Amino acid sequence: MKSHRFPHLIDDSRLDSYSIILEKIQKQGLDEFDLKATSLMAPAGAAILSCLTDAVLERGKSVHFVIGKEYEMPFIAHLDSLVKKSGHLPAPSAYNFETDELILAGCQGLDLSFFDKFEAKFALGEDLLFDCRMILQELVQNAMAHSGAERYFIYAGLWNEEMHCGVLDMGVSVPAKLRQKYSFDDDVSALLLALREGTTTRRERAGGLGLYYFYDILKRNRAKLTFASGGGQVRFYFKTRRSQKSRLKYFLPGTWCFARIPLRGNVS
Amino acid sequence: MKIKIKEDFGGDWITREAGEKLRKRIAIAIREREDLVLDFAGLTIASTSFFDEGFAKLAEEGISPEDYKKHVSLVNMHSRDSSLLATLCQRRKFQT
Repeated sequence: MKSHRFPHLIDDSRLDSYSIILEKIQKQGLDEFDLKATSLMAPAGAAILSCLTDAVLERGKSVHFVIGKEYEMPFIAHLDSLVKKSGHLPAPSAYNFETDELILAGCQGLDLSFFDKFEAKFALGEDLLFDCRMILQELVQNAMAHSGAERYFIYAGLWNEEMHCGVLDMGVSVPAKLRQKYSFDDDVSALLLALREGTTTRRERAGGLGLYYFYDILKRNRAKLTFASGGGQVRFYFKTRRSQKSRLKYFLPGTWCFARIPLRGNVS
Repeated sequence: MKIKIKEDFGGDWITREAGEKLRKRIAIAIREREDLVLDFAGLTIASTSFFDEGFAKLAEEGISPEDYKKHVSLVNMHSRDSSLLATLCQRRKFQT
């Protein structure tokens, strides 16, 4: 059994550590997640752990979770139970998980029922609900239309007075998809290109508006955006007008997008 | 004629494919000089793809903004959806 020790907090802040795990799953047959030290899991962490679990299961292996006795982690218990119950290839919906502050769904195709649950669960202001819906719907459409992934994970949750939401897929990466039409120097440049108005690979029903408007909404909400795909990652901190662009140490087969939106009194 | 988006669009009112389906129906109604009511009751669309494909691209079907205004009315639309739709139509110079 090949094991990897997870950190104290699982969230969207250090994606390199997860791209390494994916690499180990693919090339070394990693199949044990050592979560003894993990005591906190942000909403994004639940989606990341689902993706990693699914990556192991997809290779026909099972996942062994090593859980610390001192921390109660209902989501890890849920994953452990689904692996034991469902065998090697669970339906995406088997990952579905809800608490008072989190909704996670594994989806196959378009399923707008997530948004009804989202609006019923989180008492946010009307504008913020609309913005979150627009952000997530745009990401869902991109995952479905461009990544070719059979399934994707969508999540939304409250964490440290912010609404965290995002979509993760393990399909064709954004740089690989854009390369059919555009030229760029590296995968980070491809991610920046994807956020520009008019960028599209569609011939029929061409648009190229979605990610541009998505970026604009996050900017207006002074949010944080993390967008990783293929060999690149970009982070935008709209409140402080800073950004970070870097290569991932290991290739991310798919697209992971995370948004953190400050609530700023939006909770009604 | 009335189209209830929630009932007639089978769970998809966000994609470009769904928007295209709506645009074709709007274009047929206008060409046949029929009045069309689009009812958005119980829905938040929040999709640039659906609005761009469904409405803003009507100009590409040879539909004039004047004919659109004469024959099509939108009811029960979320106020943010109305603003988003107006922005997208303006972007393609289809002045609704």
